Amino acid sequence: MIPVKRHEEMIRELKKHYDTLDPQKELLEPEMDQALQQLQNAPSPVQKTALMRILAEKSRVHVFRHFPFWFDFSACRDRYQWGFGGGAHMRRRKDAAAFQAYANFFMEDQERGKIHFTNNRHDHHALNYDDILELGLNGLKTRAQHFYAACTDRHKQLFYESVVEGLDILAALSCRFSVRAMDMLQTETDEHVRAHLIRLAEAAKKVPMEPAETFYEALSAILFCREAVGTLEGIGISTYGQLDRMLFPYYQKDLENGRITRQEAKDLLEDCLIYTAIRFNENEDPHETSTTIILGGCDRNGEIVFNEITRLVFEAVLECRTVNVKLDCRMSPRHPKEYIALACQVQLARLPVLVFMNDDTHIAARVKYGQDVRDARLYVAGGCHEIVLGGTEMCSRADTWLGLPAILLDTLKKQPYDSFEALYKEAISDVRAYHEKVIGQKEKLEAQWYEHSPMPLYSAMITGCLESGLDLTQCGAKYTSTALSMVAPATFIDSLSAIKRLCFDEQKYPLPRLIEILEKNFTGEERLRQYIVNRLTKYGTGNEEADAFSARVLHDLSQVSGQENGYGKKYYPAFYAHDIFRNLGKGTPATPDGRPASFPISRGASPSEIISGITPTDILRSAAHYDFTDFTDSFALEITLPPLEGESGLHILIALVEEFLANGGSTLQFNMLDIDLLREAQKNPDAHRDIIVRVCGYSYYFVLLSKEIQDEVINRMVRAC
Amino acid sequence: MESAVIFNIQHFSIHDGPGVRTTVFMKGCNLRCWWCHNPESWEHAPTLCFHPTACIDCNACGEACPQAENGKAARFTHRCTQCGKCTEACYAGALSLMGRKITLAELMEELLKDQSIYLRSQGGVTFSGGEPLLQAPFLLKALLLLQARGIHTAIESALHAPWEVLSLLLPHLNLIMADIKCMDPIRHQAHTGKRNEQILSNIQRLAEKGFPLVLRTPIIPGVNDDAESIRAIGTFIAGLNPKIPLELLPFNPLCTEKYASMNQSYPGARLTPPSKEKMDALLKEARQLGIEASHQ
Repeated sequence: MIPVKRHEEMIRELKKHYDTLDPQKELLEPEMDQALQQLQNAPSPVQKTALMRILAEKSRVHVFRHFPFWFDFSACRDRYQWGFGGGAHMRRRKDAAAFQAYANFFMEDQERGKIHFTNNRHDHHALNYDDILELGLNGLKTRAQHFYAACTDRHKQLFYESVVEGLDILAALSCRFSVRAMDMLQTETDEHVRAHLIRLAEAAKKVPMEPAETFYEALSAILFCREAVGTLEGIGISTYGQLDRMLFPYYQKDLENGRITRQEAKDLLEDCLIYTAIRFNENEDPHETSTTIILGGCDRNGEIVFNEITRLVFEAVLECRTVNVKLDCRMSPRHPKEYIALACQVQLARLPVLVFMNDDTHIAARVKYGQDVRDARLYVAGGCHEIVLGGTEMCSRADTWLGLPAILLDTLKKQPYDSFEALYKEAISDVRAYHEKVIGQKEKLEAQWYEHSPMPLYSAMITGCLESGLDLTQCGAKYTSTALSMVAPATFIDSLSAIKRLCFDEQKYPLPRLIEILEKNFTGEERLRQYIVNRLTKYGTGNEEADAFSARVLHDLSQVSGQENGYGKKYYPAFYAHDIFRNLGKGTPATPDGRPASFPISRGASPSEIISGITPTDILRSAAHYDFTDFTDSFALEITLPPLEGESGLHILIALVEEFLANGGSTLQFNMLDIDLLREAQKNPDAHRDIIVRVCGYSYYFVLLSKEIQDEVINRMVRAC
Repeated sequence: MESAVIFNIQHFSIHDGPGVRTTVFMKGCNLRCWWCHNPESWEHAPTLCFHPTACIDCNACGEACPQAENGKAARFTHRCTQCGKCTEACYAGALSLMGRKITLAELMEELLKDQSIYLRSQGGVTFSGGEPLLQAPFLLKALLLLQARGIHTAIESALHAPWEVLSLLLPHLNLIMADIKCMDPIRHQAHTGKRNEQILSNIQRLAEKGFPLVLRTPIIPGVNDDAESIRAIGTFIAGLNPKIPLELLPFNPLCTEKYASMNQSYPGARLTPPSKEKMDALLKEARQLGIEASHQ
């Protein structure tokens, strides 16, 4: 085994390469356009494979002297893109007009906070890494040929031909790296670099074509396929998958045969983290992520996963302090305490990379919506929180979000309502109607997906396509699903509660009067606004009456989706949202819960942004009342914590995670109070009313302290760091 | 009906003992330390507080105040009876009445909300103040109920109370956090209003029983921020049991706004907090006596 502890030189080399990256668009794009022109009457899979061949054969391939993996080829792909690049060229050329029509249709709604959409419909995918490792591309090719031999349908034959060609292109691309490494060996004199190049040259002509046999080969095959398939297909593959589950058998075998040490395995994982951080991290919002690693969870049979690779990944993250790879830790009450404690130590180290996912909730949700439990057990986070079943599901979304509060404001305007129940039913029905309206437009767009950009290579790597003879874009995968994420359940629920109280129970404000007040953004009615914010019960605050009402609304919202389209694609109810709540909030006028116009609407499963004084235990207590298995995606709770340290801090974090699991939560993220957050709160106090700091013998709302004392609190934290 | 007067129940409290705790702040104190950070805890009766940063100038307080003159609320004047009507009308939360009666049943309902997280985090319930021992009969009943549920209990107390009262509570307490402000009784009286013999005797008896204790010394300029004062405290602790932890807490004037909210001025507002070097030096003095001291 060669020494791989060469991070410093590797970091310099990676930085230099990506700082000056040339995606060779001037060279490759005209050639792809020419091919599209020549093949304009050919079936779309033929066009797609032609472009893939150009990218794989004409791109510059780059082998690093100090980085152990291979996958870097120009392919018109910019530095910060994970996937996309040249593979998306065909789609970009063909669907621009269709997307523009979609955008025009919803432009006005977007300005009013009812919808937020992007042209990013091809992200959040997960490959069947298990098949890649166990069968290799050659095994997949044999499988495709087997089905091809028995197939008489010309369209399906065309699909199988494109699959075989795609796999051949990918294999040839890997071999180019082997050849490149051999070239470099002609002149390379550094002994360590030579050893690395020899290892790479040997591996790159073996995997991913053949099954992986060693830890290095397995990890290399995963990285190569993630990068190359994403680039050639023009899609975002944002996950390295369940690394601990997949890599452990290779690691164990290597250890037994003396082929690897624990340190060498950790070095390889660190190299993988460092690459990801350098390529994607800079100039990015640190909360956004290019890549996830899934840890823990279970295997297809439900056996708990927690092993030496899990530990190594945690150690590697702590040592490298990278923040771009997000660690999605799948947990259950059956996992050993050591696992929860290791994850919590990463959190205590102030690395904002952890996501806690409750296995029991996520698996139960998928089973509830008809998926096989053995497939559901292999779920991964396909992006930030978006759940996708590794290897069996094509679940493309996170491109359209619905702003529940703005939809509710339209419902109000359809008054009069003779009871709150009548208004409530109309509100839920309007959410359903808007869902259907958006799905109708989306279907127009996605019905053309196969013509605009079929995905033969990716199709080979998802169960179902070869069996059915259908491309992924024709819903060939075992499961094809999507979701329109609803945003801001807390703002929606609190608004309904306020309407019930003000307009119907107390009858202090007739609905038309309330609408008028909202249209004036509470101008002249600040006292009423304060009454609503501070005196009425709220979602997620540990109040039992509010929790019972919230549980009802959440369940009713879960029933507005779940439709199946004509060709087997399902729309699932979902509430994933990251910073979209800010975008949607900007367009949303004032809402009945006391939220002023343009202020953020609520995020994920968390309580409203406008209320303060909610403790983590309040939030978790409320969570126990809600049925998160109604939603197939991460319904994320974000909990802000005061700075925690040492052993007592660890106990507290572990306790909160255990409580979250016991209460049937979905997905949990902690946000440790930090100096930057406090400085941000000084600049923008309204958005941070909930921050409580330990002033001295007492705790107090940070934004209510005078500037002088705020500075003192911050300085104290600076000193403590 | 059994009830106590409290001024706050703080859930998810992580600085008042081990783990995740709920801290019950009981109202009324028999000391008057001039540097106190919780002046609203002094009187048993409710205390009116006004936070101008939260005020929206709606004058609902003036309309609600039975003692108003020319529509202006009577708060902080001799006419104010602390009736609390203005706080009920203040939706913005700028006015609050610190202090309310709570029955044992109400308190227990509030405390047991977080029962599972106490057990998971090795946390529990802390009674602080004010001086919780001033409401010892109520405290005893609450402790018995908590103990029956296996919940860890602690008090933060100045321990200026008869030993008999304290010793009745001990079997139902898991931890006591107490201050040693200074060793000299005359000086103690000058700065806190009370001599310290009873406090030191209680600490001594607790130590002799081996009761779990955490001792704290707030480092106050001009009171005890000199080597000699700390040596005296350290020597006392070393004589009891050098394993009893001592936390040195640096003075800071951050409660100035809190005093202002009660229309009072903080006597320590202009004092400078002890520097890190000073705290290090005092810590060194304490440690030289072989005790387990730390500072923030």
